[in-house]
Amino acid sequence: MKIREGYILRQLAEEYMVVAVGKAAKDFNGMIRLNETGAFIWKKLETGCTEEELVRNILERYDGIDVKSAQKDLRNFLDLVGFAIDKLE
Amino acid sequence: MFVVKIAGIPIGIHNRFSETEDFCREFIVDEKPAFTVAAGEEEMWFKVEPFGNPNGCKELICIHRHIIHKMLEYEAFLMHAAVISVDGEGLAFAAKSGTGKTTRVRLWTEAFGDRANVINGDKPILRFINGEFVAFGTPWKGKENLGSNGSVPLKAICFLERSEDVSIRRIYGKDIMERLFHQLLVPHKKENFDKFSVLINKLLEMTPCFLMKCNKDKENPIEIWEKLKGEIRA
Repeated sequence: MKIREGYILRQLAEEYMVVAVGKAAKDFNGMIRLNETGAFIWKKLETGCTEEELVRNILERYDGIDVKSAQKDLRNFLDLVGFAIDKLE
Repeated sequence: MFVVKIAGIPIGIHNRFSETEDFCREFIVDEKPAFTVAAGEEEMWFKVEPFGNPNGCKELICIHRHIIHKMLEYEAFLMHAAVISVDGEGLAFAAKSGTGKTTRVRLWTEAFGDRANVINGDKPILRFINGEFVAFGTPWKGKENLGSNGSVPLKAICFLERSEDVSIRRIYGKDIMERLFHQLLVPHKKENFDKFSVLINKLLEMTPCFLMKCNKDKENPIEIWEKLKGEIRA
């Protein structure tokens, strides 16, 4: 999976914001606000990775979270921002 | 073509409709423009609702959009807010339409008399200039036509919420962002968005933000201003 071209993440104060630029702006005219964790996953997705890799990254970074919850939370997140992701597999 | 000066920048406007020039009258100057803008034919037909024949009103909307986009090059951007000046200090009231920006402007200008004046009641431009953010009036003054061709250094932003009881408190980080987003026109060109993010970060670093719970029957602008001033100077 990888973030589609034209979706960019920037930090604004203590928050993160994604907007679509260029051609992507025709499909998506709003903005996505992300928290720290969302931005962490987003950055991994910018370079491209699989869902398994993401789960591993989340477990490494956040102490005390179990595999099941990590998978479930990640799935919810991916559903929400799915329109900005190219699924390569 | 005529030239207006907005936020200190002389801008050439190529107009087709005479209403456009009348609308901008107060801002017209006799200077060489730094850049020029014009409303495109296709744009007026298809990018402003109701779609169809171009007219003066549509020309003004398109020209406004072009000016705002170009302003980023001058470290300036639009904020949907009402800005007033009290004793030469700028205060922005920000809220969704219908919450009470205009009511605050009215209450505050009544309470302060000559000490207060309206910079813009709806769409001021904020520009980072000589190390501070300055709010500028523009010809676009909202439904109530409140505003002037003036400017004031911005000292605080107050986000408004209607409430039974009146209160004001300083807010930070997330509490600011979730409110501020709605008041900004976010650019959709990469280089503009980058300039915009830098500016917004700078604005939040330099400008204290407050949540103001208001009730027009109970609030006393003079009391609120004293409290705000204390916080701003702290």
